[in-house]
Amino acid sequence: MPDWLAHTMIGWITGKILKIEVGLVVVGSIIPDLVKVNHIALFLGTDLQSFFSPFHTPAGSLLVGGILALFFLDSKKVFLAFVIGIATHFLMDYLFIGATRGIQFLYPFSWGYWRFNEIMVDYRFTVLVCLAALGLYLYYFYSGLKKKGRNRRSS
Amino acid sequence: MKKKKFMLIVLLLILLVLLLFYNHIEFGKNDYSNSNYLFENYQRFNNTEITFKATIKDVYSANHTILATVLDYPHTVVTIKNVTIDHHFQKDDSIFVVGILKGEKTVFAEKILVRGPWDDSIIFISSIPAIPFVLYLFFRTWRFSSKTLTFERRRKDA
Repeated sequence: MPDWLAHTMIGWITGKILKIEVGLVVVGSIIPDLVKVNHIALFLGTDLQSFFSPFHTPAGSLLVGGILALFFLDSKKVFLAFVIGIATHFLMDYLFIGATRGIQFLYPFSWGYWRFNEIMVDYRFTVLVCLAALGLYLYYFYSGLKKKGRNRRSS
Repeated sequence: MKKKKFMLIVLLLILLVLLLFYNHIEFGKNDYSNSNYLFENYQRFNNTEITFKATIKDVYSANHTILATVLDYPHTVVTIKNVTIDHHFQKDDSIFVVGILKGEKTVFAEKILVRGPWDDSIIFISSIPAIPFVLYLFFRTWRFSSKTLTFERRRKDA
């Protein structure tokens, strides 16, 4: 399981490439990790994993995404952006292991965990993703400058 | 906010709360995210593939066996057999085990991944910068209107 920085960066890259509102995709990419609320419970001396674990399932995350999207005027468009963010999160957690055993894709119909392969990720993965995001940012930045330059010359 | 949207929010919230309570009630019977459950109910999971995190207690290279303490409470000690000693396993190494459960507290390893001693801490620390990053990206474009109880775009051209 990659960390939040990797998840949000992948959300940002996906949003940029698909030309979808990146702020929403990035928020969607961390919705499944609402399950981490349990850390507060653990800090307070009680384990509520049994209560919060549905957040880290597609069913739970889509419900949360649906509720949040209803607080926007264009709910459908926002929900789509959240879904893409949520999908990137689960794809990463499905591909890599580390802190989780896989994803309960069919929950609540099945409690089984699914995972692609036993590939462990660590900080190097985060560094790689951050570099990819930086590369993409620079690409958009310089292509934006070129466009501005061309527009000035033509006007 | 329109009445229809408000009703939909209430409906989805009820569904979410029901899902959380359903999980809470059924968790003990179905979920095996707590490794201890696997070893307590070994008859049910015998000869099936399981995964768990543990800390190495002892390494018996000659027998290709590792004795490990499961990370989840109450820290059951399990025997991991069929260990390929291609990696130099050491006492106190943090490991992620994929294997077949063979009877009570015995696992035939298929794959053992060694986790660095700081892996969990690094995940936690590197997650912290993500919080301001998400907040910045979101609130750069959106603001909450207390009048309409909805998020609105800050800029028309955003």
